[in-house]
Amino acid sequence: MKNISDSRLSGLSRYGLLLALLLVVCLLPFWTGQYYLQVFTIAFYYVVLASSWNLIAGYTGQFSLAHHAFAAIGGYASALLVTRSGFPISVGILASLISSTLMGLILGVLCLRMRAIYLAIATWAFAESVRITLSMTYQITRGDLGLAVPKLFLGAGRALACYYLFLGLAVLTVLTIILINHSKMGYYLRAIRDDEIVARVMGINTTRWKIFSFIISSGIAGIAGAFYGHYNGLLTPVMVDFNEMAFIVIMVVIGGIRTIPGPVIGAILIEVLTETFREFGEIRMVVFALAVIAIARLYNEGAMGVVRQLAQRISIKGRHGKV
Amino acid sequence: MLIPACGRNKHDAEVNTIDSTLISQYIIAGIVIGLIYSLMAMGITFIYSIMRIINWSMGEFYMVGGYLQYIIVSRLIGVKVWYIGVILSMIGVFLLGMLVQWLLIKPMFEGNVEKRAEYATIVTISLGVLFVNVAVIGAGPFIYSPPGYSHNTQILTLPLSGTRYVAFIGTIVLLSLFYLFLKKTWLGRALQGAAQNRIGIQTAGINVFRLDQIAFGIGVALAAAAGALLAPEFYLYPKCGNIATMKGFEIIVIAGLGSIPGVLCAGLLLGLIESLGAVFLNPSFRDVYGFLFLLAILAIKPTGLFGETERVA
Amino acid sequence: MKRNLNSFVILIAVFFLVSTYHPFPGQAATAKEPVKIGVITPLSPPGDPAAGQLIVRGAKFGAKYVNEEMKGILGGRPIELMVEDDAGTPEKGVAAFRKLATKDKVIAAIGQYHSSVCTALVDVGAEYGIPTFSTGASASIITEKHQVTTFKTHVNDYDRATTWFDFFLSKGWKRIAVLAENTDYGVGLFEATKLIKEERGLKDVEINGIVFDRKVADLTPQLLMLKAWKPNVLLNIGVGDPTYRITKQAYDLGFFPQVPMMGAHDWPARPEYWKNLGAMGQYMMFINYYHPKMGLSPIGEWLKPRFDKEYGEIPTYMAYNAFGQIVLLARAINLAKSDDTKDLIKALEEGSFEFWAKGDVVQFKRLPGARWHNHTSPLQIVQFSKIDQPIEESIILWPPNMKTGEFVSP
Repeated sequence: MKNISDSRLSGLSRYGLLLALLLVVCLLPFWTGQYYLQVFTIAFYYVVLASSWNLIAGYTGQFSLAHHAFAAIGGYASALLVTRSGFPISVGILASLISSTLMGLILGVLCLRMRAIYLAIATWAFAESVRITLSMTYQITRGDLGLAVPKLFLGAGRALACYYLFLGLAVLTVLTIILINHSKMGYYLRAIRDDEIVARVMGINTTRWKIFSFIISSGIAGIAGAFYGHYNGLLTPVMVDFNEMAFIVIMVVIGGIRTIPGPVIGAILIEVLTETFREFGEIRMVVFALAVIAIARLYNEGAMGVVRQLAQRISIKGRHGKV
Repeated sequence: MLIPACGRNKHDAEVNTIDSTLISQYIIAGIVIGLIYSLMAMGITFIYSIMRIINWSMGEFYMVGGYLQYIIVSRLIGVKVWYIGVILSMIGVFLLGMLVQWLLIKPMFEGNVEKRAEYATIVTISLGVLFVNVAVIGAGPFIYSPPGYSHNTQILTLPLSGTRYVAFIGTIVLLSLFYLFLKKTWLGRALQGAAQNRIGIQTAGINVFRLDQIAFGIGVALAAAAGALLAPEFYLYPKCGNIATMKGFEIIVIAGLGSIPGVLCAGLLLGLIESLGAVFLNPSFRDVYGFLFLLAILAIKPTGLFGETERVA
Repeated sequence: MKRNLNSFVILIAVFFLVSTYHPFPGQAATAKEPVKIGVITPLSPPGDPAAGQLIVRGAKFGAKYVNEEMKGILGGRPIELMVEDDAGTPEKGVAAFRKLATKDKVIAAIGQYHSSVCTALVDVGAEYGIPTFSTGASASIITEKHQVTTFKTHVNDYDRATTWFDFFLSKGWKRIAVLAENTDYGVGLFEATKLIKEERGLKDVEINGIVFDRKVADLTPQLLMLKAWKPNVLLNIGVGDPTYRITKQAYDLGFFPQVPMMGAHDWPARPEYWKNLGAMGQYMMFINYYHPKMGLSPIGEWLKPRFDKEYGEIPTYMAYNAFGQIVLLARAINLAKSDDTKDLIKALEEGSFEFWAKGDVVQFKRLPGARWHNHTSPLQIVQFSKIDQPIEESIILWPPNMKTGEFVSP
């Protein structure tokens, strides 16, 4: 089992690398055209979703299949509030945070005593209920017709502003996950994942931390969903389709579950690949599905594992005299 | 009533002809469809009882069974002997299931993979995605309508399509055969033994991995049978397994995992709840009633009506 | 040691950047560079891929006509079609249009079939200033938004509902049952039908409708309810799979054809109708836009034999419509003498264009309500009186001046 410290580089070079990467990403819009600007904006959205799901599924061991539902709840809450009452978008975002966190709390409490299998089914049932509700109450949500959402930022610089917004959200999310991981909470969550009974015997309040992980991850997903709605200008229940959840799972598994950079890499990689190879249609999904199966079956650690192994091999070569 | 009256307008005429005929029609329709749904659920719960995993791609095996049946009936043998097509597609999917199990699920038990449930979920979800997209590539997005199996008929007050009637009978036949298999054959009893005590059966000298393979094959074959039987009724298209998955999972949650007779009861219950909800409340929300029931069960008794008692270990 | 990990990651990042490099706009078009037109249409479920396929075929022939017969536009530049699948979902349609607008820089987009998708897409078109054509999407709201980039050469739903309403009244059918799908199209038509009853103050007409989820397979309970209400006619307002399911399940329940059924658009005119329903399809009435007995214009006549030769069936309305739109756009671009979208919009509003039906001339004027930038086609109500009846032999029941026969029932 890999420890977080293994992935840490020492001191200056690590910060230097991250800073360089951040600089590159900030300057990206001036390099690529309008099209890839959009693609990366959406990729950052998925980074948020993938990272927050990794927290609850990878690190806490609660394999929730309702993550996309929280994004949808957040999205629709904000959209409906802003459209119907004229409050500014910031109030909408607050409302989405409250609603998705609340739902996360409820679901977390419901799933407390459930074993893995039942948890998966219960969260699946929850997500499907959200989807059906959104679809059926079309007189409020416009269901499958699509809800027009007031747009965030208007005018010429809109695409750029949204890019930086989502980049900021992604960075914030990853930082939050890092903070949690290095804190006591992270330790407790990993203990719960490894063996809940032992954790409880050791005195960890598993109930509290399990619910916490649900609340935090669902809150993050809700905010992301709200911003997504205001970016796209359109929300449909397709957001809560099981396919979206499968997408998140694919991203995290290919990137490397239970690592911090894993979901980031997975989300960006999969999103960019999906868009670049649009013409190939379904073959993309076939390739992704096969990749996930291969990774899960043969090589559990995904892309991050590859990077790590390569790094180790390179470093071993280096130690043997090659400068 | 919290559910908004979508689809009903205050200017519409009220449907006030809820009489005994309509109710009896709905009850019969509910029983028929409920039983057919339970065929799909049976496969899921059977696999669970042996291997303790949930196969999230059961709907896709249903779809594959339907497509196989279509190919066999329309290209090879003709619709008069459609039941042979059902058997053949069951055998085909059985073999496919064994292959999938050998490649993907078996390693789970060889102690190499960390979190079993997580692994099984990831792999079976991806398998579902794989099958659906391969189907789109192979068969195209269009719907296929295999020829109907039989002419229309009537059960008591309910006029019924021939295909649905035949699927109903077919389901009864298959479920009875399955029951006999489990109770009377050596293999069936071995499987029951594996479900009850996996370690015990190994000490009895039985190769439990072989049993796993067969169980998986049987489970998906049952789903394929449902797909083959229902193909002319609900049409064939790559995503037709979605409905099967939904209904199948609703049933196993209501019934509780691992209980085979429970699946039957839950299937009928679901069919009835949906039908009667549609009649007395709002027909647009038909699929919601079963779901609400499922949520209630999950909240109150997560192990289902007939499920095993909670074992935390 | 760590330095090597750094270089590895940097290598990956560079590779990434190189592959996503995209030069800024500002490259002037060279003389023979193709002008790109987007075709955004449903090619997979939950959309209606049969319709999308017809549209793509018609559009491809349109491009062929422009490139071969008209020898290109703007002095020899060919037209290039960029086909995208919207799968009948607004999300996919919006994503596809955004890609076409930013990556491929299309000058216009046609092919819209589903009303919900079109309603979302016209907003994107307005955002980028790209003319957006509805080929088969009929919801009134599409043009009611009065966007300068929205154009439509298809009927609008209010006219559709008026047509069948008038027909029902003429037959003395006062109890109207409705089964409508939960999309802009279904709900819109249902609402329009009720609106007409209100507007005309018809107290003795009763409308009983149920809205259903497109994805639901089994509509037996809904059909049983409507059947018990004993209507005079059932309106089948669905698109794609649901239309067939409603017909089949109503037939199984002894509901149809004992009670007449009206399809809200021309799906029975398509070749796969009889394959999917067989004998069950007899007696179906439906709204039709183009009956082979109506004549074709010169470009329509150009298309018909070539389409037949290539695909083994004569074109239907959707194919003609898509074909006509491409040719129309080419002519408008020539009129505008530029490949700039603003000039194109001006040319579209000022010009008169030959279309595919005989004597049909298209003009896009800024009229009030849903008639904004909307050219509509004539509507008839036809019926299949025999099994396997081809569309040219179907009976035209309405309007009275086109009538060829009486309504038949078993």
